[in-house]
Amino acid sequence: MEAVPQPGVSRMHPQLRSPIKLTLCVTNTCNLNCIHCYSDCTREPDPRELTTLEWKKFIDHLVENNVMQAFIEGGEPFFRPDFLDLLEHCSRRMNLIVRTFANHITAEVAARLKALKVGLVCVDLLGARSETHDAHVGTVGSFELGISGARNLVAAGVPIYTLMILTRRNVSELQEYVNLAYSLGATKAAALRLYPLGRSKMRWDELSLSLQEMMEALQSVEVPKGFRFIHSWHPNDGNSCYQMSCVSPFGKSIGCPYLREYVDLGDVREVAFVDTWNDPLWRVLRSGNVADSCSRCYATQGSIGGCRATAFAFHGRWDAPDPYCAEMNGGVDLQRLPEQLFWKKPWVEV
Amino acid sequence: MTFELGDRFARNPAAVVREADEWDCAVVFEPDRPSLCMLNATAWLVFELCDGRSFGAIQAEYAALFGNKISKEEAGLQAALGIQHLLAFQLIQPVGKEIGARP
Repeated sequence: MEAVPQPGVSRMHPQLRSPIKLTLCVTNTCNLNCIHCYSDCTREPDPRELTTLEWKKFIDHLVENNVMQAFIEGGEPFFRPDFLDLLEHCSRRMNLIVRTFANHITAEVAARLKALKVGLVCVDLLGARSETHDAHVGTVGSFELGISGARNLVAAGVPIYTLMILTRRNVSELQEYVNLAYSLGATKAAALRLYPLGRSKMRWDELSLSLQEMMEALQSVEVPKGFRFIHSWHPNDGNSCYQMSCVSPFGKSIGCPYLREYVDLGDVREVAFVDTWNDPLWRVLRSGNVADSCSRCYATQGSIGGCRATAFAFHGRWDAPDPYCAEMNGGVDLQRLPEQLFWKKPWVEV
Repeated sequence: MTFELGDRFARNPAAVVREADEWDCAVVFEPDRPSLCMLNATAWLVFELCDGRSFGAIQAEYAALFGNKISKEEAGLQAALGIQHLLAFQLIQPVGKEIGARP
């Protein structure tokens, strides 16, 4: 096993001159009403959202600057009326991954995604049962629509992963969720950590789990043969900042969707997105300069220190260790949010 | 998978290539499959050598570039493996046979 580099000595990947991949948060609108929504989405569009023309111009900028992959999420991307038009503008120009609740994915839409060469669709399921999922998303019927959408995608030949944000209200269904993902024909099932962003902060007491509870649940999962279950807890706690970039629905370059309340690297309507890549803070986030790190996570991920967003949320420092790593937690109670997350509301305008 | 010395290979013209020399790799997007691949230095080398050359010529050039660092046989194996993987991801395609190639 490779030894972890000394604290302060970066062995992260060398800094890229410009990003290769990007997360595109195309909208802050959604047909659902998730109790944990990181973006505090609404059904009505915010006038600050980029227009169709602005998104297309931005996509052209990405292609011109050799961005090779777009991971597109929202809100709910398919709730944006021009979304398929935007996808068409990206089609065959970069690798496309779309994250969705799949409530809008009819057989026709699935066929269209196949024709547009979407490489992968990540389907959010907030439980393995309709009552659990629908309670999380505040919408009766969403689960059945999502399952139907997932099946339509697989039938059309579009690969899918499933994603489940792990909460106190669905953790007992984790095994059932993995089995469900396998039965749907997903290539992988993922469990995601709950981030203290947006509405989730207001219901943290109700939704959050202790680190011990999370680890016990993850370690108890039996993965069907030939299937893959992935997560970002120990020993897979990666610091993805070295390769991440993200633009918010309002045109803000924010590094990563989970940094949305802490970081503002520039407005892409006013400054070239690739120029924001060299923002001093972003260079720090990509540097891997952390006070401490986990050797096992370093060995599996090739990165140092784990998630910067949760490190900053719980410690208030960019060089702090990620408390979601069982080795680096240092006694941090993940069920208690620091007060600063509430009175600094947010660090930046989202 | 085995190849004959006269089998010729060329890069998929639809593939979009971004050199990431900062990471000693190339990132290649293939729009039809679709797929995004990161080619390490040796895979990248094989990819670049697939410019219509025959398998025999690719092997020879690959071995020459490594000099005495690896044996000719090992170079041949590595080149063949690289071509196999690149074919699987549709980053290269067969483009016929070299006329007069000796088996």
